[in-house]
Amino acid sequence: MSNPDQQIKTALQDLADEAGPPRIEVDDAWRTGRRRTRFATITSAVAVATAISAGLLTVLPGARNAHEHTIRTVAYVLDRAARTAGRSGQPLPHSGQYIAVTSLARSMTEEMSGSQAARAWLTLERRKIWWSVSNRKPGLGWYDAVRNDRLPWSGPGATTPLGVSWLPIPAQGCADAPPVRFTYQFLTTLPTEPAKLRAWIYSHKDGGQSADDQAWTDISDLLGTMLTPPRLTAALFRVAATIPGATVVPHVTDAAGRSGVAVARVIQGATQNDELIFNTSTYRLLGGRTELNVSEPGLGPPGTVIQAWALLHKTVVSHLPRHAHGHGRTASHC
Amino acid sequence: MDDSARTEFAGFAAARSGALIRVAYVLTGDQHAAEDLLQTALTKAAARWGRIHTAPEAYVRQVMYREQVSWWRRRARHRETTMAELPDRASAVPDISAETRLSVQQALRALPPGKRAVLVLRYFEDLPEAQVASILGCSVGTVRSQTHKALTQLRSALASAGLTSTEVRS
Repeated sequence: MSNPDQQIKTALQDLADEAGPPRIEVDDAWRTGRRRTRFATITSAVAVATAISAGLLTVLPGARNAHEHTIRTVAYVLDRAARTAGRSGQPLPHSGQYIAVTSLARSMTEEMSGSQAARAWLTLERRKIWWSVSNRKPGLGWYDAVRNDRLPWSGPGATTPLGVSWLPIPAQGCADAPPVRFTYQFLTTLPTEPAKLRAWIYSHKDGGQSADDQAWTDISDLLGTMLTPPRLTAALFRVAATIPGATVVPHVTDAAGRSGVAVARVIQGATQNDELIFNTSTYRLLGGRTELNVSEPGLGPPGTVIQAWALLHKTVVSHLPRHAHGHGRTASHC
Repeated sequence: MDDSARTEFAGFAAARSGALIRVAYVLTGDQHAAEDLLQTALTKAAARWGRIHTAPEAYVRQVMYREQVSWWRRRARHRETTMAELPDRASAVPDISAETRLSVQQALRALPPGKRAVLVLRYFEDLPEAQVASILGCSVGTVRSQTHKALTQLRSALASAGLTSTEVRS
Protein backbone atom coordinates (compact mmCIF):
# COMPACT_ATOMS: atom_id res chain seq x y z
CA MET A 1 0.00 0.00 0.00
CA SER A 2 1.53 3.30 -0.97
CA ASN A 3 -0.14 5.24 1.82
CA PRO A 4 -2.35 3.00 3.92
CA ASP A 5 -2.76 5.53 6.72
CA GLN A 6 -4.24 8.08 4.35
CA GLN A 7 -6.56 5.50 2.76
CA ILE A 8 -7.93 4.42 6.12
CA LYS A 9 -8.32 8.04 7.22
CA THR A 10 -10.18 8.92 4.02
CA ALA A 11 -12.42 5.85 4.28
CA LEU A 12 -13.27 6.67 7.91
CA GLN A 13 -14.02 10.29 7.02
CA ASP A 14 -16.29 9.12 4.17
CA LEU A 15 -18.03 6.76 6.59
CA ALA A 16 -18.50 9.57 9.13
CA ASP A 17 -20.03 11.72 6.38
CA GLU A 18 -22.84 9.17 6.09
CA ALA A 19 -23.99 9.91 9.65
CA GLY A 20 -27.37 11.62 9.75
CA PRO A 21 -28.36 14.34 12.21
CA PRO A 22 -28.53 12.93 15.75
CA ARG A 23 -31.97 12.43 17.23
CA ILE A 24 -31.19 12.38 20.92
CA GLU A 25 -33.51 12.77 23.90
CA VAL A 26 -31.50 15.32 25.83
CA ASP A 27 -34.03 15.80 28.64
CA ASP A 28 -34.40 12.06 29.01
CA ALA A 29 -30.61 11.62 29.17
CA TRP A 30 -30.41 14.28 31.86
CA ARG A 31 -33.30 12.95 33.94
CA THR A 32 -32.26 9.32 33.69
CA GLY A 33 -28.62 10.15 34.44
CA ARG A 34 -29.44 12.38 37.43
CA ARG A 35 -31.96 9.91 38.78
CA ARG A 36 -29.31 7.22 38.81
CA THR A 37 -27.09 9.47 40.88
CA ARG A 38 -29.73 10.40 43.41
CA PHE A 39 -31.65 7.20 43.78
CA ALA A 40 -29.20 4.48 43.02
CA THR A 41 -31.30 1.92 44.83
CA ILE A 42 -34.38 2.44 42.67
CA THR A 43 -34.62 -0.29 40.09
CA SER A 44 -33.83 0.77 36.57
CA ALA A 45 -37.29 -0.29 35.39
CA VAL A 46 -38.98 2.21 37.69
CA ALA A 47 -36.54 4.94 36.72
CA VAL A 48 -37.08 4.34 33.02
CA ALA A 49 -40.86 4.31 33.43
CA THR A 50 -40.72 7.61 35.29
CA ALA A 51 -38.48 9.17 32.67
CA ILE A 52 -40.69 7.98 29.83
CA SER A 53 -43.86 9.27 31.51
CA ALA A 54 -42.33 12.75 31.69
CA GLY A 55 -40.29 12.42 28.49
CA LEU A 56 -39.86 15.17 25.96
CA LEU A 57 -38.33 14.40 22.58
CA THR A 58 -35.85 17.02 21.58
CA VAL A 59 -34.14 17.17 18.26
CA LEU A 60 -30.78 18.73 18.83
CA PRO A 61 -29.91 21.94 17.00
CA GLY A 62 -26.33 20.66 16.59
CA ALA A 63 -23.99 21.55 13.77
CA ARG A 64 -25.53 19.08 11.32
CA ASN A 65 -29.04 19.95 12.31
CA ALA A 66 -28.35 23.61 11.80
CA HIS A 67 -27.10 22.66 8.36
CA GLU A 68 -30.21 20.61 7.81
CA HIS A 69 -32.39 23.67 8.38
CA THR A 70 -30.97 25.04 5.14
CA ILE A 71 -32.51 22.10 3.24
CA ARG A 72 -35.62 23.80 2.04
CA THR A 73 -36.13 23.17 -1.62
CA VAL A 74 -36.00 20.44 -4.20
CA ALA A 75 -33.66 22.65 -6.22
CA TYR A 76 -31.19 22.82 -3.31
CA VAL A 77 -31.10 19.06 -2.67
CA LEU A 78 -30.81 18.13 -6.34
CA ASP A 79 -28.20 20.81 -6.99
CA ARG A 80 -26.08 19.40 -4.15
CA ALA A 81 -26.63 15.88 -5.50
CA ALA A 82 -25.56 17.03 -8.98
CA ARG A 83 -22.42 18.67 -7.65
CA THR A 84 -21.52 15.55 -5.64
CA ALA A 85 -22.10 13.30 -8.66
CA GLY A 86 -20.08 15.56 -10.96
CA ARG A 87 -17.08 15.36 -8.63
CA SER A 88 -17.13 11.58 -8.14
CA GLY A 89 -14.06 9.70 -9.36
CA GLN A 90 -15.64 6.45 -10.44
CA PRO A 91 -14.20 3.60 -12.51
CA LEU A 92 -14.06 4.09 -16.27
CA PRO A 93 -15.41 0.93 -17.87
CA HIS A 94 -14.43 -0.10 -21.35
CA SER A 95 -16.11 -2.26 -23.93
CA GLY A 96 -15.98 -5.93 -23.02
CA GLN A 97 -16.25 -5.31 -19.29
CA TYR A 98 -19.24 -5.44 -16.95
CA ILE A 99 -20.84 -2.97 -14.58
CA ALA A 100 -21.54 -4.83 -11.32
CA VAL A 101 -24.27 -3.22 -9.23
CA THR A 102 -24.94 -4.54 -5.72
CA SER A 103 -28.17 -3.47 -4.07
CA LEU A 104 -30.82 -4.38 -1.56
CA ALA A 105 -34.44 -4.21 -2.68
CA ARG A 106 -37.92 -4.69 -1.31
CA SER A 107 -40.24 -5.38 -4.22
CA MET A 108 -43.98 -6.02 -4.15
CA THR A 109 -45.81 -9.00 -5.58
CA GLU A 110 -49.60 -8.77 -5.92
CA GLU A 111 -52.05 -11.60 -6.55
CA MET A 112 -55.16 -10.02 -7.99
CA SER A 113 -58.76 -10.99 -7.39
CA GLY A 114 -60.83 -8.94 -9.82
CA SER A 115 -59.54 -5.38 -9.70
CA GLN A 116 -57.99 -5.50 -6.24
CA ALA A 117 -55.10 -7.34 -4.64
CA ALA A 118 -56.12 -10.48 -2.74
CA ARG A 119 -52.60 -11.04 -1.50
CA ALA A 120 -49.65 -8.69 -1.58
CA TRP A 121 -46.23 -8.95 -0.02
CA LEU A 122 -42.81 -7.35 -0.13
CA THR A 123 -39.81 -9.57 -0.76
CA LEU A 124 -36.50 -8.41 0.65
CA GLU A 125 -33.84 -9.37 -1.84
CA ARG A 126 -30.08 -8.96 -2.12
CA ARG A 127 -29.08 -8.40 -5.70
CA LYS A 128 -25.96 -8.27 -7.78
CA ILE A 129 -26.37 -7.53 -11.47
CA TRP A 130 -23.59 -7.66 -14.06
CA TRP A 131 -24.47 -5.45 -17.03
CA SER A 132 -22.39 -5.80 -20.16
CA VAL A 133 -20.85 -2.39 -20.91
CA SER A 134 -21.59 -2.68 -24.63
CA ASN A 135 -24.57 -5.04 -24.27
CA ARG A 136 -23.05 -7.20 -27.00
CA LYS A 137 -22.48 -9.97 -24.45
CA PRO A 138 -25.08 -11.36 -22.05
CA GLY A 139 -25.09 -10.12 -18.48
CA LEU A 140 -26.09 -11.94 -15.31
CA GLY A 141 -28.24 -11.36 -12.25
CA TRP A 142 -27.83 -12.91 -8.78
CA TYR A 143 -30.88 -12.63 -6.55
CA ASP A 144 -31.12 -13.82 -2.96
CA ALA A 145 -34.64 -13.58 -1.53
CA VAL A 146 -34.22 -13.43 2.23
CA ARG A 147 -37.63 -12.48 3.64
CA ASN A 148 -41.28 -11.91 2.78
CA ASP A 149 -43.36 -9.28 4.59
CA ARG A 150 -47.10 -9.24 4.02
CA LEU A 151 -48.63 -5.82 3.34
CA PRO A 152 -50.97 -4.53 6.08
CA TRP A 153 -54.27 -5.25 4.29
CA SER A 154 -53.21 -8.37 2.40
CA GLY A 155 -54.96 -11.70 2.76
CA PRO A 156 -52.94 -14.71 4.01
CA GLY A 157 -51.35 -17.21 1.66
CA ALA A 158 -48.58 -17.62 -0.87
CA THR A 159 -45.30 -15.77 -0.79
CA THR A 160 -42.14 -15.75 -2.90
CA PRO A 161 -39.84 -18.76 -2.34
CA LEU A 162 -36.70 -17.76 -0.48
CA GLY A 163 -33.16 -18.49 -1.64
CA VAL A 164 -30.73 -17.75 -4.42
CA SER A 165 -31.52 -17.62 -8.11
CA TRP A 166 -29.44 -16.67 -11.15
CA LEU A 167 -30.90 -15.10 -14.25
CA PRO A 168 -29.03 -14.39 -17.47
CA ILE A 169 -29.54 -10.97 -19.05
CA PRO A 170 -29.86 -11.45 -22.81
CA ALA A 171 -27.49 -9.54 -25.08
CA GLN A 172 -28.64 -6.88 -27.52
CA GLY A 173 -30.63 -8.41 -30.38
CA CYS A 174 -31.89 -11.37 -28.31
CA ALA A 175 -35.45 -11.81 -27.07
CA ASP A 176 -36.09 -10.06 -23.74
CA ALA A 177 -32.91 -7.99 -23.99
CA PRO A 178 -33.01 -4.95 -21.70
CA PRO A 179 -33.69 -1.51 -23.24
CA VAL A 180 -30.70 0.04 -24.94
CA ARG A 181 -30.66 2.82 -22.33
CA PHE A 182 -29.30 0.28 -19.83
CA THR A 183 -26.06 0.09 -21.76
CA TYR A 184 -23.17 2.11 -20.38
CA GLN A 185 -21.73 2.63 -23.82
CA PHE A 186 -25.02 4.15 -24.96
CA LEU A 187 -25.19 6.36 -21.88
CA THR A 188 -21.84 7.91 -22.78
CA THR A 189 -23.43 9.23 -25.99
CA LEU A 190 -26.21 11.15 -24.22
CA PRO A 191 -25.94 14.93 -23.88
CA THR A 192 -24.73 16.17 -20.49
CA GLU A 193 -26.12 19.66 -21.01
CA PRO A 194 -29.33 19.58 -18.90
CA ALA A 195 -31.62 21.29 -21.46
CA LYS A 196 -30.58 18.90 -24.24
CA LEU A 197 -30.81 15.87 -21.93
CA ARG A 198 -34.28 17.00 -20.82
CA ALA A 199 -35.40 17.22 -24.44
CA TRP A 200 -34.09 13.70 -25.09
CA ILE A 201 -35.79 12.24 -22.01
CA TYR A 202 -39.13 13.87 -22.80
CA SER A 203 -38.97 12.73 -26.44
CA HIS A 204 -39.19 9.07 -25.36
CA LYS A 205 -42.70 8.26 -24.25
CA ASP A 206 -43.91 4.67 -23.98
CA GLY A 207 -47.49 5.58 -23.12
CA GLY A 208 -49.54 4.97 -19.99
CA GLN A 209 -47.94 7.67 -17.87
CA SER A 210 -47.90 11.44 -18.13
CA ALA A 211 -44.73 12.88 -19.67
CA ASP A 212 -43.58 14.24 -16.30
CA ASP A 213 -44.28 10.92 -14.53
CA GLN A 214 -42.40 9.03 -17.18
CA ALA A 215 -39.42 11.37 -17.10
CA TRP A 216 -39.22 11.03 -13.31
CA THR A 217 -39.53 7.22 -13.46
CA ASP A 218 -36.93 6.94 -16.24
CA ILE A 219 -34.41 9.02 -14.28
CA SER A 220 -35.09 7.08 -11.09
CA ASP A 221 -34.73 3.71 -12.87
CA LEU A 222 -31.51 4.73 -14.55
CA LEU A 223 -29.88 6.06 -11.39
CA GLY A 224 -31.00 3.05 -9.36
CA THR A 225 -30.00 0.39 -11.84
CA MET A 226 -26.91 1.45 -13.74
CA LEU A 227 -23.55 3.07 -13.37
CA THR A 228 -23.94 6.39 -15.17
CA PRO A 229 -21.01 8.61 -16.21
CA PRO A 230 -20.49 11.34 -13.56
CA ARG A 231 -21.41 14.27 -15.81
CA LEU A 232 -24.53 12.48 -17.02
CA THR A 233 -25.51 11.69 -13.42
CA ALA A 234 -25.17 15.37 -12.55
CA ALA A 235 -27.27 16.33 -15.57
CA LEU A 236 -29.95 13.77 -14.64
CA PHE A 237 -30.31 15.39 -11.20
CA ARG A 238 -30.54 18.82 -12.83
CA VAL A 239 -33.26 17.58 -15.19
CA ALA A 240 -35.12 15.97 -12.24
CA ALA A 241 -35.11 19.40 -10.58
CA THR A 242 -37.10 20.80 -13.51
CA ILE A 243 -39.91 18.21 -13.30
CA PRO A 244 -42.88 19.84 -11.56
CA GLY A 245 -44.57 18.41 -8.47
CA ALA A 246 -41.58 17.36 -6.35
CA THR A 247 -41.19 18.07 -2.62
CA VAL A 248 -38.54 17.48 0.07
CA VAL A 249 -39.09 14.88 2.80
CA PRO A 250 -36.55 15.51 5.63
CA HIS A 251 -36.20 12.08 7.29
CA VAL A 252 -36.52 8.94 5.20
CA THR A 253 -34.97 5.47 5.49
CA ASP A 254 -33.84 3.42 2.50
CA ALA A 255 -34.10 -0.37 2.12
CA ALA A 256 -30.76 -0.82 3.93
CA GLY A 257 -31.93 1.21 6.93
CA ARG A 258 -29.80 4.25 6.11
CA SER A 259 -31.51 7.51 6.87
CA GLY A 260 -31.41 10.47 4.53
CA VAL A 261 -33.31 13.30 2.93
CA ALA A 262 -35.66 12.51 0.05
CA VAL A 263 -36.99 14.31 -2.96
CA ALA A 264 -40.49 12.93 -3.50
CA ARG A 265 -42.91 13.24 -6.37
CA VAL A 266 -46.46 11.99 -6.73
CA ILE A 267 -46.94 9.54 -9.61
CA GLN A 268 -49.68 7.25 -10.94
CA GLY A 269 -52.42 9.89 -10.75
CA ALA A 270 -51.22 11.07 -7.33
CA THR A 271 -51.87 7.66 -5.74
CA GLN A 272 -48.19 7.00 -5.04
CA ASN A 273 -45.20 8.97 -3.83
CA ASP A 274 -41.90 8.10 -5.49
CA GLU A 275 -38.80 9.17 -3.56
CA LEU A 276 -35.09 9.46 -4.28
CA ILE A 277 -33.12 9.32 -1.00
CA PHE A 278 -29.84 11.16 -0.47
CA ASN A 279 -27.20 11.18 2.25
CA THR A 280 -27.93 14.25 4.36
CA SER A 281 -24.30 15.37 4.46
CA THR A 282 -22.79 14.33 1.14
CA TYR A 283 -25.96 14.23 -1.01
CA ARG A 284 -24.80 10.95 -2.54
CA LEU A 285 -27.77 8.95 -3.84
CA LEU A 286 -28.53 6.18 -1.32
CA GLY A 287 -31.66 4.64 -2.77
CA GLY A 288 -35.34 5.20 -3.28
CA ARG A 289 -38.78 4.04 -2.31
CA THR A 290 -42.40 4.24 -3.37
CA GLU A 291 -45.23 4.60 -0.88
CA LEU A 292 -48.99 4.80 -1.14
CA ASN A 293 -50.50 8.26 -1.10
CA VAL A 294 -54.04 6.95 -0.66
CA SER A 295 -55.62 3.85 0.90
CA GLU A 296 -55.54 0.88 -1.46
CA PRO A 297 -57.79 -2.12 -0.75
CA GLY A 298 -55.70 -5.26 -0.39
CA LEU A 299 -52.51 -3.26 0.13
CA GLY A 300 -52.65 -0.74 2.98
CA PRO A 301 -53.27 2.78 4.23
CA PRO A 302 -51.45 5.93 3.01
CA GLY A 303 -47.76 5.73 3.88
CA THR A 304 -47.49 1.98 3.16
CA VAL A 305 -44.16 1.32 1.41
CA ILE A 306 -44.71 -0.76 -1.71
CA GLN A 307 -41.18 -0.69 -3.08
CA ALA A 308 -37.73 0.31 -1.81
CA TRP A 309 -34.15 -0.04 -2.96
CA ALA A 310 -30.70 0.79 -1.63
CA LEU A 311 -27.55 1.05 -3.70
CA LEU A 312 -24.67 -0.64 -1.91
CA HIS A 313 -21.89 -0.79 -4.47
CA LYS A 314 -21.23 -0.08 -8.12
CA THR A 315 -18.04 -1.24 -9.73
CA VAL A 316 -16.48 -2.49 -12.96
CA VAL A 317 -15.28 -6.07 -13.46
CA SER A 318 -13.75 -7.91 -16.37
CA HIS A 319 -15.54 -11.24 -16.08
CA LEU A 320 -18.84 -12.73 -15.07
CA PRO A 321 -18.67 -15.05 -12.08
CA ARG A 322 -18.84 -18.78 -12.61
CA HIS A 323 -21.87 -20.32 -10.98
CA ALA A 324 -23.75 -23.55 -10.62
CA HIS A 325 -25.95 -23.20 -13.70
CA GLY A 326 -23.21 -22.81 -16.25
CA HIS A 327 -23.50 -19.16 -17.10
CA GLY A 328 -20.55 -16.84 -16.82
CA ARG A 329 -17.66 -16.97 -19.22
CA THR A 330 -19.23 -19.78 -21.19
CA ALA A 331 -22.62 -18.08 -21.59
CA SER A 332 -23.90 -18.12 -25.15
CA HIS A 333 -24.71 -14.91 -27.03
CA CYS A 334 -28.45 -15.16 -26.24
CA MET B 1 -27.67 24.61 41.00
CA ASP B 2 -29.27 21.67 39.20
CA ASP B 3 -31.04 24.01 36.75
CA SER B 4 -27.84 25.71 35.68
CA ALA B 5 -26.10 22.35 35.35
CA ARG B 6 -28.96 21.08 33.24
CA THR B 7 -28.75 24.14 30.97
CA GLU B 8 -25.00 23.66 30.68
CA PHE B 9 -25.48 19.97 29.82
CA ALA B 10 -28.15 20.76 27.21
CA GLY B 11 -25.86 23.41 25.69
CA PHE B 12 -23.00 20.94 25.47
CA ALA B 13 -25.21 18.26 23.92
CA ALA B 14 -26.61 20.72 21.37
CA ALA B 15 -23.20 22.05 20.39
CA ARG B 16 -21.27 18.79 20.19
CA SER B 17 -23.76 16.09 19.17
CA GLY B 18 -23.18 16.81 15.47
CA ALA B 19 -19.50 15.90 15.85
CA LEU B 20 -20.07 13.08 18.35
CA ILE B 21 -22.60 11.30 16.14
CA ARG B 22 -19.88 11.05 13.46
CA VAL B 23 -17.63 9.19 15.87
CA ALA B 24 -20.55 6.99 16.98
CA TYR B 25 -21.38 6.27 13.36
CA VAL B 26 -17.87 5.18 12.35
CA LEU B 27 -17.82 2.97 15.43
CA THR B 28 -21.16 1.29 14.77
CA GLY B 29 -21.73 1.76 11.02
CA ASP B 30 -25.44 2.24 11.67
CA GLN B 31 -27.46 5.41 12.34
CA HIS B 32 -29.79 3.94 14.95
CA ALA B 33 -27.00 2.14 16.81
CA ALA B 34 -24.97 5.37 16.69
CA GLU B 35 -27.84 7.34 18.20
CA ASP B 36 -28.27 4.68 20.93
CA LEU B 37 -24.55 4.78 21.69
CA LEU B 38 -24.52 8.57 21.92
CA GLN B 39 -27.67 8.59 24.06
CA THR B 40 -26.09 6.09 26.47
CA ALA B 41 -22.92 8.14 26.70
CA LEU B 42 -24.86 11.37 27.32
CA THR B 43 -26.90 9.68 30.05
CA LYS B 44 -23.68 8.61 31.78
CA ALA B 45 -22.25 12.09 31.32
CA ALA B 46 -25.35 13.59 32.97
CA ALA B 47 -24.89 11.29 35.95
CA ARG B 48 -21.33 12.55 36.50
CA TRP B 49 -21.81 16.11 35.28
CA GLY B 50 -20.53 17.69 38.48
CA ARG B 51 -17.15 16.00 38.04
CA ILE B 52 -16.78 16.13 34.26
CA HIS B 53 -18.45 19.40 33.26
CA THR B 54 -15.10 21.12 32.64
CA ALA B 55 -14.17 18.54 29.96
CA PRO B 56 -17.33 16.61 29.09
CA GLU B 57 -16.44 15.70 25.51
CA ALA B 58 -13.43 13.59 26.42
CA TYR B 59 -15.60 11.69 28.88
CA VAL B 60 -18.43 11.14 26.36
CA ARG B 61 -15.96 9.89 23.76
CA GLN B 62 -14.36 7.52 26.25
CA VAL B 63 -17.77 6.12 27.24
CA MET B 64 -18.68 5.58 23.58
CA TYR B 65 -15.47 3.70 22.83
CA ARG B 66 -15.69 1.54 25.93
CA GLU B 67 -19.40 0.85 25.44
CA GLN B 68 -18.76 -0.15 21.87
CA VAL B 69 -16.03 -2.57 22.85
CA SER B 70 -18.17 -4.02 25.61
CA TRP B 71 -21.09 -4.46 23.20
CA TRP B 72 -18.70 -6.31 20.99
CA ARG B 73 -17.67 -8.55 23.89
CA ARG B 74 -21.29 -9.25 24.82
CA ARG B 75 -22.29 -9.92 21.25
CA ALA B 76 -19.23 -11.97 20.33
CA ARG B 77 -21.09 -15.28 20.47
CA HIS B 78 -24.13 -13.98 18.61
CA ARG B 79 -22.61 -12.06 15.76
CA GLU B 80 -24.65 -12.01 12.61
CA THR B 81 -23.22 -13.58 9.51
CA THR B 82 -21.92 -10.90 7.22
CA MET B 83 -23.33 -10.58 3.74
CA ALA B 84 -21.79 -13.09 1.34
CA GLU B 85 -19.96 -11.43 -1.51
CA LEU B 86 -19.70 -13.09 -4.86
CA PRO B 87 -16.23 -13.82 -6.13
CA ASP B 88 -15.17 -11.31 -8.71
CA ARG B 89 -12.13 -9.26 -9.44
CA ALA B 90 -11.92 -5.55 -9.90
CA SER B 91 -10.65 -4.54 -13.29
CA ALA B 92 -7.44 -2.63 -13.87
CA VAL B 93 -9.10 0.62 -14.88
CA PRO B 94 -7.36 3.99 -15.18
CA ASP B 95 -9.11 5.55 -12.17
CA ILE B 96 -9.89 3.23 -9.29
CA SER B 97 -9.95 5.76 -6.50
CA ALA B 98 -13.72 5.56 -5.93
CA GLU B 99 -13.71 1.79 -6.09
CA THR B 100 -10.80 1.65 -3.69
CA ARG B 101 -12.51 3.98 -1.26
CA LEU B 102 -15.66 1.88 -1.33
CA SER B 103 -13.68 -1.33 -0.86
CA VAL B 104 -11.78 0.10 2.10
CA GLN B 105 -15.07 1.27 3.60
CA GLN B 106 -16.66 -2.12 3.08
CA ALA B 107 -13.64 -3.82 4.69
CA LEU B 108 -13.85 -1.41 7.63
CA ARG B 109 -17.52 -2.22 8.13
CA ALA B 110 -16.66 -5.91 8.23
CA LEU B 111 -14.17 -5.47 11.09
CA PRO B 112 -15.31 -6.54 14.57
CA PRO B 113 -16.23 -3.45 16.68
CA GLY B 114 -13.22 -3.85 18.97
CA LYS B 115 -10.71 -3.71 16.15
CA ARG B 116 -12.63 -0.96 14.46
CA ALA B 117 -12.57 1.10 17.67
CA VAL B 118 -8.77 0.90 17.70
CA LEU B 119 -8.54 1.99 14.06
CA VAL B 120 -11.02 4.83 14.62
CA LEU B 121 -8.98 6.13 17.55
CA ARG B 122 -5.68 5.80 15.68
CA TYR B 123 -6.72 6.99 12.22
CA PHE B 124 -9.94 9.00 12.62
CA GLU B 125 -9.10 10.71 15.91
CA ASP B 126 -5.34 10.69 15.18
CA LEU B 127 -4.45 9.72 18.74
CA PRO B 128 -1.14 8.24 19.87
CA GLU B 129 -1.04 4.64 21.08
CA ALA B 130 -0.72 5.62 24.74
CA GLN B 131 -3.88 7.71 24.61
CA VAL B 132 -5.76 4.98 22.75
CA ALA B 133 -4.75 2.54 25.49
CA SER B 134 -5.91 4.96 28.17
CA ILE B 135 -9.31 5.49 26.52
CA LEU B 136 -9.94 1.79 25.96
CA GLY B 137 -8.56 0.82 29.36
CA CYS B 138 -5.98 -1.60 28.02
CA SER B 139 -2.21 -1.76 27.58
CA VAL B 140 -0.21 -0.15 24.76
CA GLY B 141 0.81 -3.67 23.73
CA THR B 142 -2.84 -4.61 23.26
CA VAL B 143 -3.42 -1.49 21.15
CA ARG B 144 -0.44 -2.42 18.96
CA SER B 145 -1.54 -6.01 18.50
CA GLN B 146 -5.17 -5.01 17.81
CA THR B 147 -4.04 -2.41 15.28
CA HIS B 148 -1.79 -4.96 13.58
CA LYS B 149 -4.58 -7.56 13.44
CA ALA B 150 -7.10 -5.01 12.16
CA LEU B 151 -4.76 -3.85 9.39
CA THR B 152 -3.97 -7.45 8.43
CA GLN B 153 -7.70 -8.22 8.22
CA LEU B 154 -8.26 -5.05 6.20
CA ARG B 155 -5.49 -5.92 3.73
CA SER B 156 -6.73 -9.47 3.41
CA ALA B 157 -10.28 -8.20 2.68
CA LEU B 158 -8.93 -5.79 0.07
CA ALA B 159 -6.82 -8.50 -1.55
CA SER B 160 -9.80 -10.83 -1.81
CA ALA B 161 -11.76 -7.95 -3.38
CA GLY B 162 -9.10 -7.86 -6.07
CA LEU B 163 -7.21 -4.82 -4.78
CA THR B 164 -3.64 -5.76 -4.07
CA SER B 165 -1.42 -3.53 -2.01
CA THR B 166 0.18 -2.02 -5.09
CA GLU B 167 -3.13 -1.33 -6.81
CA VAL B 168 -4.51 0.55 -3.84
CA ARG B 169 -3.68 4.19 -4.16
CA SER B 170 -4.81 7.15 -2.12
